[in-house]
Amino acid sequence: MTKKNVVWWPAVKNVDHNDKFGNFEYFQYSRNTWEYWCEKNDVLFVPFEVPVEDDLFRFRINWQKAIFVFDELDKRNIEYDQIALVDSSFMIRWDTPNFFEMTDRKFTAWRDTDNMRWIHESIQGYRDFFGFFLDQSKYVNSGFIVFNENHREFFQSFKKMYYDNIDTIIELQDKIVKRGNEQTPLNYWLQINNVDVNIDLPIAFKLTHLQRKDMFNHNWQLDEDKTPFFIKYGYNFSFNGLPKDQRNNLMKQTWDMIKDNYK
Amino acid sequence: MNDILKGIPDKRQDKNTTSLKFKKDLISYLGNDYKDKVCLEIGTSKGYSTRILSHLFKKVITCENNIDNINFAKDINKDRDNIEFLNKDVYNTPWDFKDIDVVFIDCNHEISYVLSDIRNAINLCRRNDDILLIFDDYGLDNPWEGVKEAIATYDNDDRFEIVREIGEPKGSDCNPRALLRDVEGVICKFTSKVEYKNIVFLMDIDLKGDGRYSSHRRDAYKYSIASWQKWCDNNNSELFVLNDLVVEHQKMAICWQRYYLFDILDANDIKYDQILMVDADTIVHPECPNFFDMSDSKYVGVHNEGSYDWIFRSIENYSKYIFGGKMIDWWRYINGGFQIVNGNHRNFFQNIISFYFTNQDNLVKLQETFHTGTDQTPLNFLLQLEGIDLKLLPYEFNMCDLPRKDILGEDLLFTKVGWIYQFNSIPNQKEHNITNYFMEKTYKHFHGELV
Repeated sequence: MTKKNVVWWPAVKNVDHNDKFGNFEYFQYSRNTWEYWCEKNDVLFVPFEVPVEDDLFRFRINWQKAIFVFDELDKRNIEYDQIALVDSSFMIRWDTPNFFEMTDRKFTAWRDTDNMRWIHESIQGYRDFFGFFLDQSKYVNSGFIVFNENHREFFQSFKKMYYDNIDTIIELQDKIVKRGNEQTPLNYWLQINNVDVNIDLPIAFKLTHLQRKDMFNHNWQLDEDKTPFFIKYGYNFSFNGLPKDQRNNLMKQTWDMIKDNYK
Repeated sequence: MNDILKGIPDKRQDKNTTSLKFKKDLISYLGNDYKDKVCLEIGTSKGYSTRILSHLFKKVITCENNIDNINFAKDINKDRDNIEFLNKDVYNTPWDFKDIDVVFIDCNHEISYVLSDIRNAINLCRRNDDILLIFDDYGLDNPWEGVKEAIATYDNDDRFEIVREIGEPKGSDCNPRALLRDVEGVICKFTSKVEYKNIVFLMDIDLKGDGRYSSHRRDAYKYSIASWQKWCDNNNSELFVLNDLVVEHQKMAICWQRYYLFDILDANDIKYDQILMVDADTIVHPECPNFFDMSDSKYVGVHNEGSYDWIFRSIENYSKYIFGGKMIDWWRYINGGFQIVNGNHRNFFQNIISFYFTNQDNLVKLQETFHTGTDQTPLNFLLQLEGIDLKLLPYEFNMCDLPRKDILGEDLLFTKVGWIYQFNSIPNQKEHNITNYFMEKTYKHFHGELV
C-alpha cells in the first residue's frame, strides 16, 4: 500500500480556556479548509482531539502535538510518508499547491520574524537551560512544520527531554520566560541536534500575524476587488498574533467569505 | 594529434560539436602543459570535446543536464579513465568545484547564461593565480546576443583577456545554419593577481529645501556613511558616496538615478568586483558578515518585510498601469535599499534606465497619484519579468520597518538581532527626528562620537 502524506491537526479543547478561546468554535473553520485540501491532494487528514496526557497544565497541547505525534500515528496504525503538523488556528486556501512536493524531504519550516522582541526574549529565557547559543536567523514557527520518518528520533528525544525536565520547563514557561510553549525549546532542539531545516519555501505558506503585516486590508486605491490581501495572496494563514477572543469571529468571517470555494 | 582526433567528427558532420580545426588549435595551444591539471567542461553534449580534453588534462570533470547525452558520451569515452561525468544543471546548482585550472564552456549560448558561466568560472580562480576559459561558438550567428556579447562585457576588465582565437575563421560555413560572424572559439584568461575590490555605493545628494532629499533629511546620513566606511575598512571594500546628480532631478527622481551605477563607476575610473547599492538611512553593524561572500555572484536583495498593504497596493497599481496586468511573486519582492550586483548586471541596469525614459510620464503620474513608491516596485517587476537570477539574504541584512518588529527602542534591541538597520517607516515623526535620533544613537553605540 502506498504511504500517504499526513496532515496532523491538533485541536484539543481545553475547557479551562473555553472563555479565552470562545469555546474553540474556530476549530471547525480550520478543519473545513484542511479536510478539503487534504482530499483534493490525496493527503490523510488526522485530527488530534483527545490528549495523550490528561493534565493539560503539565502537558500543554502545544507540547503534546509535537512529542506524541509519532506515538499517535503508530497507535492508529497510520502508514505515513511525510507529516505536516499544522495548528488549528490556520486556514488553508482551497487552491494551495501541494507543499509536500516542495520539501526535498527535509524538515521544513518557515522563519518567524514577526515580533522579534518576543522571539529574542524567549530565546534568551531558555539559553541557560539549554546551554546553547541559538541563531535567531534560523528561528522557525512551530505552528506549521513538515517532517518525515527520518525525524522520528528527533521528536522522540524531544519528548524525553521534556519528560526529564518537565518541572523546570514549566517553571520557565509559566513563571520566568513567559514567551510561548514548545516553540522556542523546539528551535533549540533543532539547532542543538543540527537538523537540516528547509526554510526556503515562500512565506505565503505560513502567513502569521496578519494584522501586524497589514494583510486584512484590500486595495482601496484601485477599489476593484475587496478581497483581503491575506486571502488573495496567501496560501495558509494563521489567526495568531491577535487577541484570542477575536479568533472565532475573524475565522468565521473568513470562512463565510471563502466557503463557496470548498464545495 | 591524429591519434587523439581519430573517429572524432567535424562540425560539418555533427553541428553539435566543435570543428576539427577548433580541436586541433586547442591541442596545439594546450600541448603538454596541462597534463597535471584539471579541466571543468560545462556542457558535455555528445562527449567528443570531452574526449580530446581527456588527452590533454590529468582529469576532466564534465557537466551535462541531459542524461541521454551523458550516456552517449560515456559510451564513446569508455576507454578513458580520467573523466568524471556529472548529471548537473549548472544554472540552478552551485559550482562547488575545487582546484580547477581550465573551464571549457559550451552550454547555453544566450548571453545571460554565458555571463553566469563566466562569473561562476572566474570564481573558481585560485587567489593570486590564473584560470583559462575556453569558449565554443564565439562567432555563432544567433539572432540573440550570445557568447561574443557576454565576453565583450569584460572589455574594460583588466583581469580578463582573450589570449587566442581558435577554430574556423569568420565567414566559415562549418555551421550549416549560418556563416560564422566571427572566429569559432576563443581562449580567455582571467587573473586574480589583479584584485578588484567590492564597492559599497551610497547616495547622499543635497537638493536643498524641503522634500525627500532636503538637507534636513540628510542630517543623519553622515552616521550612515561613517558606519559604512568602517565596515568597508574591515572588509577589504571601498566606499563610494555619490554627491552629485547624474540627471536633473526634475527629469528623474534621485532613486532612479542609482541605476546609472556602472556609468558612474566607469566615469570615476573605479574598478569593481561586486557592488552593494545601499540607502543612506542605514547603519551597519561593525561585525556584519561580509555579504559579498554570500552572493554566489548573483543579484542579491532582501525581501521587504514591512507593510504588505503598501506592497500589495504598489504591486497591483504598477501591474495595472505600467506592466499590462502582469504579476510577480510577492514573496520575492525586495527592498530597493539593499542591492548587490556585479558586472553581469550592467545590461539590466541599462534596461532599467531605458524603461524609465520609455514610461516616464506614466511612472511620474502613478507615483504622484498613488504614492506607492518610485523605483522599488518597477525594479521588482523588471527583475522577475527579465528572469534575473536573484538570491535573497535573510531579513537581518536589511532590517526595514523596525517598529513593526517591536525592536526599535531605547534598548537598541535591533543591534542584537541583525546586521543592517534601515530607519524607515517610522510613524509619528516630525522632520525625521526619530530617524535621525536613532541613526545617531546607533552609530554612537557602536563607535562613539563621530570624528
